[in-house]
Amino acid sequence: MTESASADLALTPERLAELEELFDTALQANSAGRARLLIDVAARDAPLAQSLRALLAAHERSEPLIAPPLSPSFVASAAEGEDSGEANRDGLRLGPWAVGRLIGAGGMGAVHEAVRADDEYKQRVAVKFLRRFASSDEAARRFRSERQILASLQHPRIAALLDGGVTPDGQPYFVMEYIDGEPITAWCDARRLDVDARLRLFVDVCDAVRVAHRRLVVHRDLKPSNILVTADGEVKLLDFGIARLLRDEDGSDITQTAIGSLAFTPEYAAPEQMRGEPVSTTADVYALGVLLFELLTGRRPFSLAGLSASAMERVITDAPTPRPSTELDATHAALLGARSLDRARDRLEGDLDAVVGMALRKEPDRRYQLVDALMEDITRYLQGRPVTARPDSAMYRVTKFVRRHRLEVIAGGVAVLSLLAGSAAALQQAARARVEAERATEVQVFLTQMLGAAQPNALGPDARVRDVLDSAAIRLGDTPVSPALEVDLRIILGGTYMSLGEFAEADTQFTRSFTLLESGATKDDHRAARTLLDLGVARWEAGRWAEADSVLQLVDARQRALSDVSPVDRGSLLDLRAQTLSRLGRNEEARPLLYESIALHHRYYPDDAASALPTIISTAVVESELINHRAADSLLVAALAMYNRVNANDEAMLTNILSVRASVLERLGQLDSAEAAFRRVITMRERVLGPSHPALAMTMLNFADHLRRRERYLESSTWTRRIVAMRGTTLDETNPALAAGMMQLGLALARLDSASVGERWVREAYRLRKAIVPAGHWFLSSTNSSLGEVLTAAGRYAEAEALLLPAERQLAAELPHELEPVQDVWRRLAELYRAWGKPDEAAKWQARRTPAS
Amino acid sequence: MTASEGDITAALAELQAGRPGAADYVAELVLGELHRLAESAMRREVDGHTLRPTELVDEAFVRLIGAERVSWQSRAHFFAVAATTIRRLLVDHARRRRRTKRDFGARVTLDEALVAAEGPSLDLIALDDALDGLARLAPRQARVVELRYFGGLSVEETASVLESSAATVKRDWTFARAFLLHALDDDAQTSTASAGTRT
Repeated sequence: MTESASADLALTPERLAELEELFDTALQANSAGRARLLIDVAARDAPLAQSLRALLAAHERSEPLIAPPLSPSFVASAAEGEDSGEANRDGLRLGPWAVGRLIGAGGMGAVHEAVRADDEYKQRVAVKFLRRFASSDEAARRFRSERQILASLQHPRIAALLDGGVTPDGQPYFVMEYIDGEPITAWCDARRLDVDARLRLFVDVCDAVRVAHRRLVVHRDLKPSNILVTADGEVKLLDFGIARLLRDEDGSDITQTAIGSLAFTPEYAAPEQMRGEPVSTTADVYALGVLLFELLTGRRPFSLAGLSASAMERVITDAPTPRPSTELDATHAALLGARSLDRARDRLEGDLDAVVGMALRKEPDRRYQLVDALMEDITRYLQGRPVTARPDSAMYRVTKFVRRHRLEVIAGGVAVLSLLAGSAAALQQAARARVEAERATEVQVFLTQMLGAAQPNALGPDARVRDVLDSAAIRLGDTPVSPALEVDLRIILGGTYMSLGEFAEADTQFTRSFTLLESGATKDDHRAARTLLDLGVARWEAGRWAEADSVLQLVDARQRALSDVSPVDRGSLLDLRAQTLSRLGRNEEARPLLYESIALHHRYYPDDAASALPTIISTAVVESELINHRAADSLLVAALAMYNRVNANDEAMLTNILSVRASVLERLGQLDSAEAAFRRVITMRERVLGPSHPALAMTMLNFADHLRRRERYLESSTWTRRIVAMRGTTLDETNPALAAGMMQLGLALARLDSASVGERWVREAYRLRKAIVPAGHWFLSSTNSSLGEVLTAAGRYAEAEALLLPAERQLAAELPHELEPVQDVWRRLAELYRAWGKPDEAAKWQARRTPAS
Repeated sequence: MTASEGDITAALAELQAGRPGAADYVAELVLGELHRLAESAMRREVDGHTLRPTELVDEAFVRLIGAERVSWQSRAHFFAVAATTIRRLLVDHARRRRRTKRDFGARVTLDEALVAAEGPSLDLIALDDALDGLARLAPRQARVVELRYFGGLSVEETASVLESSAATVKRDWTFARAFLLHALDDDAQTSTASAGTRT
């Protein structure tokens, strides 16, 4: 016997309207109300009641099957179910748990106290009932998938999840460790903790969040009421990962309809969360920024009381973020134990303002990318070391991007191998750590002694460290000091400039101290070699590879001459020089250095196989560049085996290995394996970083290029369109991946017979690039070269020629000829003249090309 | 390629202003473009390859309108026109496939999350029939499904196109979805039952 809405009932438009009315009423009601309604309807019209019941049953299942297709504005409609009001749950039994009194209620649902009824110890727990879902099946499904992850999240500072399920009437619940504590803000204020004590507590919070992030659990709703401090001063985080259960299928938070039902708290929500976009770990970084702001000032950066949801969104998305130092008032200054408001403000101004500002940046990719980095900066501050937080300029980010993704960028947005800089980053960290560990305290002494008179108030908001250093450098030039002290101070200054990313300044300081170490009373061969290495790092970091190499060549010679060079220094030199040579296209010379470095790793760190992984990845890249794809692949397979053996649990490293392998497989012609590897990397990065993270965009760019080269233009454009769709959200206009994505999209569209739209994308890419690179940069020629390809496809040969010829002149003059931009422009010229019916010209350009391997 | 971009942008403005004939003109452009896209996408279709209608519509949109910033209202009107077209196209395709393959109709997966997991899928032809049935009784609700499901419009966009409120669209959508799903169930049960009798 089937219950049929249409067959059993002679449906007319009028009856259908009545049915919709009843259906709607039933959905608004709770289960008891719904049952009553069905009985009432059945009494007067049995077939109608039957149809209604059938529709309600179908509704329970309809969520996943007929879902609206993804659309950016879809989030605005995500809310379906409403909380059906708080039921009285006192006395309810859930498995072994006897539910007791209500102890709290919030946007997510009600919290009750409970005890384990079958246990003589009467373990006390908290039961949290979540808002109702569209259907109990849906709730149960999500719950099962999340529960395992949450249960594995064991950390002394994270309240343990003990049990959970769905009540008979479809309400999901969690049983959690009962924490007797006070919200962190109240706890600090009640004890009048000073800034340092608050920061130390904050570091504990970061530590717990960091551990969760490593397990790929994002909290999404960090706020003081979820961060308790127990009587003995231990931090405990509640509700980890629970907000995720309230997420909709496409990863957006279920928001809307009423603020009371938000799955997060607007005051602590990141802009992307407010907009209903998918969130990742950086949303937690933002919430931690708000918490830090509140711990320091007693208030939150934005006051949202009484605002509508859309007004809140506007404030959070658009309003400039205030600085803690200006928001602090006398009342809270007293709670910080400060003697005066001015003193307390001085304390916050500069570094702490910068750290909070960096955590609260509107764009997720410009915040601290990891909680670790935020935590590290706070730790640095507590130790009196310079913080890394500082304003970001577009050009800085471009140079950084070029360094990090050299191959992709050199190819003019045509991505080849990603993340070459694995070992370079490690190396740079090592160099920095060394410089700083040796000299951090000296910097402190120097800065306080020599610059005691510096006026912090006269300096800019975010640039305190930098300004202090500049005046230190100037004063050092004016002050007569002994050469020995000058050497020390300049090395300190250079190292500090390095950690601020001010490589030109670092260069100056290292050069001066090197000169001093070369002669006279201060002559010291070991220190000279080391300072020279630092100088090489500074030039490398600045992207001045040829100059870096001439310095590093000297270091190499000196290290060979000195008998007792530390393996760290030697390894750093080998890795760095190899990277530099590779960037200069001298892969043949880079190769032996890399193998020496790997051997060094094995000799000195036999127990730490993972430490050699970045070098091995670089070696694979170099082998692949030398057309030894088999050797490259073997290295990567070995790296994977090594990774598995040490169980490194470092997803970033794993994805680095896999993404390089994807490109190597591509070059080996194992296209299907390459595709599988790309997809795996994308899936992993998507899981870790969320669906619209800039780093993910980079991988998508590589994959789109792969597909385009395989002439799968439609698929390729699907990926690049995802990148382009990140514009204005996770990718701002200055992010080079955006322009590269547009260019790829344009090239693919040109092959899909849409040359005119393709042209528009490439021109847009040009416009974006023009805004971020200096005039005359070969980047622009490379973009014009792509535009030439699109115009050729459109049959606009003369225009294409007018772009391609000048582009060719610059690219061929400035870049090694075997690199993609040069090869591409030659290919494009050959194609242009072939299409144009000028075979002689075509043959001339074709002849220049290096035959494809 | 068909019309110049100026044409389509102007047509969209007219469409939004409710000028008669504008919809037909846009539909014609969209249909041509979608046909070509769908053909190339479907040629590549292999077993298990899933086709997402909105990808096609998006593609057509990008091709016809390009990178220009079009107001979201005209975007919504574009997608509203495209919704009907894409529905027709997909169902025709499913019918052709059924004729050649004698299977249960094209299985088109409509939810990205279900692509990876071997999830349930909808019989597009049955859905089309059910939607026709709903349209006879409740045309507005059926149109909401068409716009949301085939056109990828959000609740707000749908409301703007239908000159209705977001709350009404949301209610219609929930109801229509349940109605259709139930109708599809009936359909499946009926065919299983009749298959049973035949043996």
